[in-house]
Amino acid sequence: MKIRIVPIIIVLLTYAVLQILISTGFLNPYWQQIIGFAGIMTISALGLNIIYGYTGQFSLGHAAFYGIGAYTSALITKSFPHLGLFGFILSFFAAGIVVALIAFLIGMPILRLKSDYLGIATLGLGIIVKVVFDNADAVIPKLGGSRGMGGIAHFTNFPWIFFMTVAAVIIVRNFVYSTVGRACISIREDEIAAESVGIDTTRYKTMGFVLGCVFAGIAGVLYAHLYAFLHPSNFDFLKSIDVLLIVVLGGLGSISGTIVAAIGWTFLLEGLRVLLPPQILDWRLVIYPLLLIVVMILRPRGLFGGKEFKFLKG
Amino acid sequence: MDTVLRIERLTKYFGGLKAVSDFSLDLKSGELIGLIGPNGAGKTTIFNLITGIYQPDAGDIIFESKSICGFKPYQITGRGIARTFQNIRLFNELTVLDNVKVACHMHASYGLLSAIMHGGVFRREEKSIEEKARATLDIFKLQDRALETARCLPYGEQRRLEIVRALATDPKLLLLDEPAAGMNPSEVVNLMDLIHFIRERFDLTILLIEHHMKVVMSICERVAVMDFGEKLTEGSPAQVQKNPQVIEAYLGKD
Repeated sequence: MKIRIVPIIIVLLTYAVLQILISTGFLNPYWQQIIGFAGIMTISALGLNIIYGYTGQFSLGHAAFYGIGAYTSALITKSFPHLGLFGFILSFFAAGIVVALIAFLIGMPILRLKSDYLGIATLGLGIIVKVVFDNADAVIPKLGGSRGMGGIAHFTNFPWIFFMTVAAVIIVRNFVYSTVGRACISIREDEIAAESVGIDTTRYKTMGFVLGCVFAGIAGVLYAHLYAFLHPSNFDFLKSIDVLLIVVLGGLGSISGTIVAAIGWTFLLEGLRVLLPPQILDWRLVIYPLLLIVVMILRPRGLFGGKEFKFLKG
Repeated sequence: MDTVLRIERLTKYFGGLKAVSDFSLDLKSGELIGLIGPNGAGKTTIFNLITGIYQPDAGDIIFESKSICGFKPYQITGRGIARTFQNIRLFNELTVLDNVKVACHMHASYGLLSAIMHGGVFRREEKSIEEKARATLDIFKLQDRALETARCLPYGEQRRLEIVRALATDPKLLLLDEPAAGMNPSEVVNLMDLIHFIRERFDLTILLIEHHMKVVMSICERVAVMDFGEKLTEGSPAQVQKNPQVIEAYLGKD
């Protein structure tokens, strides 16, 4: 890999500044959690950007894989508490494998569908998974079912989130500027033409879908060990919409856009909570959709419209 | 000369409609054959059957002595049949260079892991893809357009790029679906030169669907005429032009 000095320095500086702010207590635990959540949303949205933004497969079931990752990892760290941090690392692999397997098995049949129809199928999947979470305690009591799953160890801290997010960005960037990424993008552009120049479209659609879902699963692992409490309602259909919104807002097929939109969206949501006086607090749920509408009118192709920051280019 | 492609009694139904019926045609190595016929005669259906987009209901397609029926389109491309489309199908949002690079994908031999790691294998393979794509663009004088978005090219160059992209898959047989459609007279002349040129340079057998009679009659060695899914006749351009059945299919009868 060609090593680029400037981006590395920027990344390390950003890390150092944030870490100092956290260590000195300048950012209280509330804001630390929000920074963490922004990173988690970035990873998850980067995954959906691979699926929808690059490969062009419309998925409304992203939160399901996010949830499967979260529950799988939480079950592992809770079942083997004596493993400590090693158990946490192990849970990343376990969650990744479980999510990849489920995404593969689901993807094979449903990726034959196109656009809206695929959206409905993935929506159905999201609902099934939510119902499974709701009733999971009947099979494995530890999962908590609709009462929620508590008592998860707090392994996720700022360095974990920060460097996992950086790794996610690098992986997506490398993926996009490779022949595998180009194959996926060609499917988005014109599936018949892609097939006519020798692209095995089924294979690459599945590959893009599985990879994107694994990102959601990894984000789920971080989420579970940041909040230490999981509830099925955190992984319902509306959460899939949140991620979709970030990807579309940032601009389909733009890494830079996804990062900016994910972080911006998280801070906007929480920022309004702080900024607005309590009596109109509920209006924030009106303000941010309004902002969305304005952005989509002014920039119909998203904030970045397929463009990238210079350091993310191939 | 050996037969590159043999189409044997090909039949395809769409519901009750017989789109192609008992169609046979042999293509010898290095030939340039025109496929003509009125609108709806089934010409593009033949292309879609050859390239695996449709599966025939009866008959067989034999490419280089092996049946290619039941293969998927990408597998057929892998065997050496490339095509262009009647309504241009470029990867519009990609650059001209990336359009060609996608077509080089088949020959790349690294997977997802190497792609993510961007290691040695990746660099080597990407370098050879880049070189091949650039070289192909050079041949067709599109090198100055390499970094432009495909959507932004003028119409004639979009058609040319589609042919270039097809050639980047290293085909032995090239299927061109109405390459002159929508072109102005000077673009048509350029196209005819281009077809001659690629045939020599890439050692190709070409099957061409075209409505533009000047193109068909001046560059094809042999012409097959279709009407209502059946082959009316086949022969040299001069023979076909005189054939009363052909005249009837195109102009009707008194």
